[in-house]
Amino acid sequence: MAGLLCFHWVGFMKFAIALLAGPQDPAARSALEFARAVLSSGHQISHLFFYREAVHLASLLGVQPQDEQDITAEWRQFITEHRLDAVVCIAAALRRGVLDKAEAQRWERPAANTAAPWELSGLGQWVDALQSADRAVTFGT
Amino acid sequence: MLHILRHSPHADSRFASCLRAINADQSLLLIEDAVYTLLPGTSGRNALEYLPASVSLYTLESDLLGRGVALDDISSRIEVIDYQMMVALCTEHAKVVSW
Repeated sequence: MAGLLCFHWVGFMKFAIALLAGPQDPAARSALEFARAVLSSGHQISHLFFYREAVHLASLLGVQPQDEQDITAEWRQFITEHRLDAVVCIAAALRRGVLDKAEAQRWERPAANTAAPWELSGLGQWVDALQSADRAVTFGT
Repeated sequence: MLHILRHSPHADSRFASCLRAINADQSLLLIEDAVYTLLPGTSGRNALEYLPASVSLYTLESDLLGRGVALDDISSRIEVIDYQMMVALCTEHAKVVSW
């Protein structure tokens, strides 16, 4: 544990975290474990951003076998519990059939499959996140 | 700068690209399938050993355990860390790059 002593305290920081890989990719868990560690270390998460296959995490319709961990439920619970800003790239989401009620109506689709705490929004949100956060960390590249 | 690599050196060219890009006094963290780089006797492991001594090397313990890479096979220059220490590494480096 000698290495632990090398880490010096640098004050609280705001983290922006992006995830690009879907629920079946180990990166979905890495990003969640990292996000938990950010908060338990006393830092803040200013933005969470989900794009490419990661938009499937926002679907409320996935069903996991009962003897497997449900990473989508864990993410949803984490975001809700800590009242985090969880933005799902709207272009990537529409393309993959992840729609909230407003988008389902706009595009005349028969059902919506995502809702709060997820928010469909543009890539510009990630640009904002990069401007305002102290650190930006990407998972699932 | 902290480089985070997640791909196995045996399946993806990003390991080679990352090694070319990394400079002295920077850090490299191996996560997910990149922990296979640490398997003894492989070209990936040898490539790591040739990095300048000023490059700090880290890996995530949970990813080693999850992939069955034995902790006592790890080179002494690689520091085995947890997620909290990964967060600390990110705060200590002004820039974080994911490969």
